[in-house]
Amino acid sequence: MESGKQLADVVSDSGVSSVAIVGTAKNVGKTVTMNYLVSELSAKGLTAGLVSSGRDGESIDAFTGQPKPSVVAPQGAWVATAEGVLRGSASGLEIADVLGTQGLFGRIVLGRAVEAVALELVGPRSARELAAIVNKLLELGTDIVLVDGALDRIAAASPKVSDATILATGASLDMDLESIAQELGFVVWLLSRPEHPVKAIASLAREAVEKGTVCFIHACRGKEQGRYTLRPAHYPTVLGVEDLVLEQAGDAAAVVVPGAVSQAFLDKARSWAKQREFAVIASDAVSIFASKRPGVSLYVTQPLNLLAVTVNPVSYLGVSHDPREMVNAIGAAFRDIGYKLPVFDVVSGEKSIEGVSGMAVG
Amino acid sequence: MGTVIRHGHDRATSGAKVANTPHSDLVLPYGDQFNDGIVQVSFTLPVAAGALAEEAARQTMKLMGLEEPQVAEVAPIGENATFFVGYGKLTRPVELSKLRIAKPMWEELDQITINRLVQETLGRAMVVVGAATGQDAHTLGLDAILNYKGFAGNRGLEAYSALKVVNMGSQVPNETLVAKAREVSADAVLVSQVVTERNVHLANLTNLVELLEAEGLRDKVVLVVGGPRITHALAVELGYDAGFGPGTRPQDVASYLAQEVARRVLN
Ligand code: B12
Repeated sequence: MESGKQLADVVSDSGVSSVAIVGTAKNVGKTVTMNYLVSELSAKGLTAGLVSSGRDGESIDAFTGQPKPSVVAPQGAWVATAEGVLRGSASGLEIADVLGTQGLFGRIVLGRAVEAVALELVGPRSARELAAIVNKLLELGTDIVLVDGALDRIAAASPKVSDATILATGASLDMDLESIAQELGFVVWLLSRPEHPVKAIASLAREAVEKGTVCFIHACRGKEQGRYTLRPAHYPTVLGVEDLVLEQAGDAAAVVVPGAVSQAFLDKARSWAKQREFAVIASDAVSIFASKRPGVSLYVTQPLNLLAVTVNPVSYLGVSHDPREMVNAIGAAFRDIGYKLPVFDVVSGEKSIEGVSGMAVG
Repeated sequence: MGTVIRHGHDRATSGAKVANTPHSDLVLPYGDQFNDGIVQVSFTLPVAAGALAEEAARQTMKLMGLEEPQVAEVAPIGENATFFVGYGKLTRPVELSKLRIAKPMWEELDQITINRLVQETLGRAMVVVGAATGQDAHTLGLDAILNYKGFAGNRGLEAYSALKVVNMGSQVPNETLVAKAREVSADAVLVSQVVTERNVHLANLTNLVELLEAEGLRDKVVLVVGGPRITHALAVELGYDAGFGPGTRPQDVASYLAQEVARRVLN
């Protein structure tokens, strides 16, 4: 990456129309990252839209009792929030639409900031509703929608909701730098799961996800060698039926799971795959519930576009790291596992110079 | 010794920044006079009783944001710990008009009305799956809501003809709960979380939401969590539709469920 490039440049150069900011834990600086991005993107002349998948910008954190930064919408920016939190800050918003969707404090309203306004963002309850709001904001003329993820939830990063992802992380994830870097290496590995390298398999996998049924992909033999076929397993899910599904695998090259891929399923698939080439294909990284590297090939049908990682070197527990040390340690951890991903601390301006773009090289 | 806590509703005087009258928008705790800010606290320090321990106690109260801290009671607990009761003064009021209380939106209905509403809305019984999830082994709270017998003289959800209850018990992994919800085509998923030490319940609760999202079931169920430390605001922030705290009666939950499915069908 050119060393002059900042997070806002990475985002605007990517040309995406929606970015989810998801966190590895609470208090990792998602709101700070969002405020930084919305102000920088607005300065670049882009019309930003803001929406949260939970609750953001409330003055006191509901869990830790710590003061939290408010969300600041610059003049001209669009926001989606619940009508019940607009009392007091509503003056700066011009309401364009009221949706049927119920948030924590009533219906979700879409409005435009007539002047810079500090407010609380309250989002809808499901990813489907969130996706609908993102689309609505784009229809209203937003250039780029920033979706703030809630807590440690990453559903906002689903390709069904947003085009690209920024991973926010920080000192509250864990105590020492080494464990933070290690844990992050795993999260980035997971969020960067690519499509199956064999085009024919990748395309059949997309078909299986469309069907909504667990399917196997088999290599054809003899004259048909090099081609593949799809075989439905007649289960909509692997949850609770891990063994039953795998017993049907036969000589399959891959199993495609349209729903959640659990750690239990990955463990079983791993022993299954010991003697052969076998891959697990999930619909997207957000549907994979792995707590460690699974020891079996793992792909997705819709890869996430992971743009960057941000770090917050200070935690509410009072742990704080030197920003430069932290950014470098995390950048190095990514390099070690073969990923080039820019790392930023938007507060101190520290960044790692390793990254080029969010594309995985491994 | 200290301030005696009295309840003097007629002791209104004026002049202070914060009105010394009831029904003011800015409120502080009170001891002698309305909004005088006086509070009583008690805590234990791992320090042997003595002058050092007392000074440590006063500092502790200052760190709590209390002005004019006074130590009122000192009791040694064994050799190296001391229990304190202290008084101090809070000066930062709470602004009532700035507070927002999030409650699930429902009105209380009787059993017959609830059954009728569910039948009219769905044309069948509503399937409710309940479990205490993750590591949680406490079943009494969940049973109080689900079991026929109910809680505090109020019949449980099993007593409602329009509710078909599947009680999975305790320590149910989220994956198993989600699989069951799919198997029985659940209309509602009810989760109990009692153990909340070190916030273990938070990650477990968000994990369930993410699993339901991945399985494409999140929009198909009314998702509810209950427990002694659960509030509606917390539940919604975690991605649930509603949260129920201590003292919840089954009828509250049944009323909510019936009205929520009706609202969804209307929308
Ligand atoms: C009985 C009990 C047990 C029994 C449970 C037996 C059983 N079958 O349930 C046993 C002995 C097994 C037990 C074990 C433990 N317990 Co225990 N236990 C209690 C006790 C004494 C009562 C809890 C209870 O049943 N209350 C009565 C029910 C009716 O109330 P409730 O749960 O609040 O439910 C109501 C509402 O919250 C709500 N609700 C609850 N769930 C749901 C669900 C839905 C869907 C809805 C709508 C509403 C709802 O509605 C209910 C009715 O109003 C409490 C202390 C206390 N007095 O509260 C400790 C307590 C809950 N236990 C505690 C602890 C720490 C433990 C252990 C970890 C102890 C240990 N170190 O081993 C283990 C945990 C094991 C585990 N893995 O979960 C702590 C929890 C602290 C915390 N906040 O995390 C408590 C508070 C005791 C304490 N002060 O330390 N415990």
